Amino acid sequence: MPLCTRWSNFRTSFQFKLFLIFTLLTLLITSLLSVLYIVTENHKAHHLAAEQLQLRTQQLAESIRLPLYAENREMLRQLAEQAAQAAEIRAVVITAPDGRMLAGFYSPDYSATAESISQSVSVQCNPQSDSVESSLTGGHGTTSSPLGSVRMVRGTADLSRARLQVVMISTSAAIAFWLTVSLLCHLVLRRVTRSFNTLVYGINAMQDGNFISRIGIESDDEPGRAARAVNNLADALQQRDEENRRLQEERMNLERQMLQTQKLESLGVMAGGIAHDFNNLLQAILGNIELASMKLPADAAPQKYIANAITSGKHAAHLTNLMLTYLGKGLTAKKELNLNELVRDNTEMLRTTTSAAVSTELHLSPELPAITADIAHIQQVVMNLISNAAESILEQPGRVRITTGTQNCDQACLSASLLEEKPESGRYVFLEVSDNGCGMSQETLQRLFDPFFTTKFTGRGLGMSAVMGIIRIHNGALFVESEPDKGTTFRALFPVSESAPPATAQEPVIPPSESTIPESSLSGLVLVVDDEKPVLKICTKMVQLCGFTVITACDGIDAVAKFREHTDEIAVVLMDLTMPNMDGLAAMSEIYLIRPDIKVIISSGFNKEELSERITDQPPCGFIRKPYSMNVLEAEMRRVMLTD
Amino acid sequence: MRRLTFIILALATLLPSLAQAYDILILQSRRDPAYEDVLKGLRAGHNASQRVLVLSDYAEVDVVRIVREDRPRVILAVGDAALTATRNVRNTPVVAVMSLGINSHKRSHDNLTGVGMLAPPARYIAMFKAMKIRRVGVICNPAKSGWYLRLARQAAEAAGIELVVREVSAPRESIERLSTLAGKVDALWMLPDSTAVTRGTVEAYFRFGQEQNIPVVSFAASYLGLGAAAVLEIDLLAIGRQADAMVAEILRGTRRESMSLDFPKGITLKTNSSVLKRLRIAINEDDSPLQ
Repeated sequence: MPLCTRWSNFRTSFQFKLFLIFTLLTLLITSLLSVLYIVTENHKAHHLAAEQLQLRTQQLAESIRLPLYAENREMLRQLAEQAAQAAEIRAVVITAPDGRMLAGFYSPDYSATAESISQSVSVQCNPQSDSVESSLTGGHGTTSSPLGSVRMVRGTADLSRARLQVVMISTSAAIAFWLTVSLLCHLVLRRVTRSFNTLVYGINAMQDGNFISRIGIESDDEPGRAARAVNNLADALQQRDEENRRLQEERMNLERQMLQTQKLESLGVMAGGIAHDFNNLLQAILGNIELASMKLPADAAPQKYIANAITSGKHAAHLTNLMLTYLGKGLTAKKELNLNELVRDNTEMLRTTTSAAVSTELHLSPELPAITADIAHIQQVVMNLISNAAESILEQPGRVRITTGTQNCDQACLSASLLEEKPESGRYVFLEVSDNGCGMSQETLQRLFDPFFTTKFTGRGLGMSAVMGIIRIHNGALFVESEPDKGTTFRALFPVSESAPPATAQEPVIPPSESTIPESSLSGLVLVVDDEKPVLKICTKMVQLCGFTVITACDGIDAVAKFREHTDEIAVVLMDLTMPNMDGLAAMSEIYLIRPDIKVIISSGFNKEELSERITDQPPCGFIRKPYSMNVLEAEMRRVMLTD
Repeated sequence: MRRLTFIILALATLLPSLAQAYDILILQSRRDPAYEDVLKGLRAGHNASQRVLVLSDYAEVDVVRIVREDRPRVILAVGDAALTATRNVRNTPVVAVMSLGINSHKRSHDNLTGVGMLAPPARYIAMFKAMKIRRVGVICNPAKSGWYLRLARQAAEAAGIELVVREVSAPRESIERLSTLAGKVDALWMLPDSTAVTRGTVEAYFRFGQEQNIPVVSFAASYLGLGAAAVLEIDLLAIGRQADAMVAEILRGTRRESMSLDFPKGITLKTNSSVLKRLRIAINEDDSPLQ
């Protein structure tokens, strides 16, 4: 605070005003008392000097009685000079009753006009000295006439010196007293007004928005009570401020969640549309390629290229599935599984693809409970986390440690999850993957789950996005600790399966394969419905190759009409889910109304769970996800046909 | 009627004569306790009729006319003023007391008798002798105290004591004359001389005695407080009785032939023991002035 501002504040303070009043009052009283003391002392000194001169004159009068009576001038002169030896005596004059001066002494510095003190005493006979007659008769004699008079004059130089001394001493004492009282007054006022100042400072601090600091209550007087009231007010303000901050934070979280939800919805709509179209395209591509492969001999030279095309098409389908997974719409097939088995299998597979200099440590809990999850998704999570850990180790050798176990998590623990949706408290199986790689910066951590964000040259930026989507689908949580150049630790939590006992070895999940489908002849009329003509065309061909007779429809309305036309002839309806005018589900409902025992197979680019969520009445008999191969179609058709 | 008129005139003429007939006319100078003491001694002695006239009560008193009209057989004058008032009375005997000037009046006043205010000089000389004093200083006005000084000298010579006398004619001379006695006397005798002893000079006597370390013998007890070593004080009651005896003799007609003055008979010795002790003086009982 600038000096001028501090002075201005001090000048207008209560303490300064009281100090000024007390100081001026003390100065006034001290000055008055000093003046009174000086005047009194001066008067007293003057009076004392006059009394002393009176006594001295009286003493001289007593001593000159006889020579004065005898008018012995010489003796009177000697006595006068002797009396004049006293200090400050300026003149001694002895006169007869008739006024004649019998003796006189004047000092050289005597001046009639100078300030002086004069005393005159009439010289009388000794009052005890009786006349002859009165002493004989015992009576009172006549009053004797005075023998003369004596006058003494003294100067006042010593009085002036004494007066000056008194003035100096009293002034010094007054100043010292005034300063002492002022100092004491200052100390007392500072002590008294400290509580006021504390109150003011506290209020100023609160005025500046500091609701944390509290005013020290030093006394139980009015300022103390005011400070207590202000503290209570500050408590209320702080609570309100914290409440506002919390509400603001909640509002921002809601906005962020809403934004995220909107983003996800937008992405979902976009990705769903893209996946649908992309899967339709892939269905047409892969179907045609597969048909072309079937037309060629097995050892034909183009088969190798056709196989490469099919592989790339499947990768494209996987990419589509990743995108849908991030949005929670990917293909899921939740089952109870043992995380340890999955980790062990994927670790072995990873060791074959990573550098030998990267060591992998497994710390798997032997009593790990089962979780209910999509094995493909969990496998994807394990693979993504382990491969990311291995790839973060830039400087060989490195270490990747994989740990599994269980932990009980409450809301406080789960609140640190990176996912917006916080799962409920409970028992969780965790998968922790830590490495001593390059770690991540804060900026990277903030964009960790952004789709298509990657720090790797070959990455597509969908791995961690898919991990987040998978964990969200499984109501899990994800934690990360990372520090640049020191490493990263991911911990994924999955809720323990409620029905499953502690997982032991589990039957490996065997995806549907062509070998599991029993060979039998297939026949009948199949209604193939799809709004995409290329897809409709290739599907029709694939169904025909399975042995069926096919009629086609280009949308739901057309399908219902065709089914109504061939109700009794149609054995299976293979219908696309997403179509204009009337989608697959609506058409399925209409068809079920016409013929409830008809076998309907829905084909879609979305997963089966999403389809299940949308179906409220009779479900379809089968589901086949685009893009599907000839074998998959045949197997599903065969399964549906064999099902009662 | 004529007889009644005669009786009235006779009573008016004779009754005042009967009322004013008394033996003693007491003239009192003023109302003074000392005079009252004297009169107490006087009245205790006889049953003669008397009239008391206090002169200070009147502006002017014609004593001669009163004496002529009242025809007292004797006049008792108390104080100097009363004695002065009787100076023109020639046919009536006057007894004077308490008067310092009685001796001067005696010279022109044949019918005057009375008691003086001074103790006999022989008493003082005897006291000096008892104090073993050899030289005694005296200051006096011969015009006033010459008769007394002569008696004193006679007594001193008889006792072997030297009187060193300094005569003064004015009070202011006393102090200067006192200084001439320094170292020449063993004691100072204050005579009741109104010239030598005044209110202004009294202090000088005692200061002289203090400076010279010699005793001052005085005549009144009031001086003991100022430093007198011893005084011979007269007894007022005794003076009254002494005057009463004189009056009685006059009334009897036995004192007509010898109208002389008497010294007072009641004399009291009073000393200041502190002064005597300081001066290391003891008064021999055998030579006591009261013997």
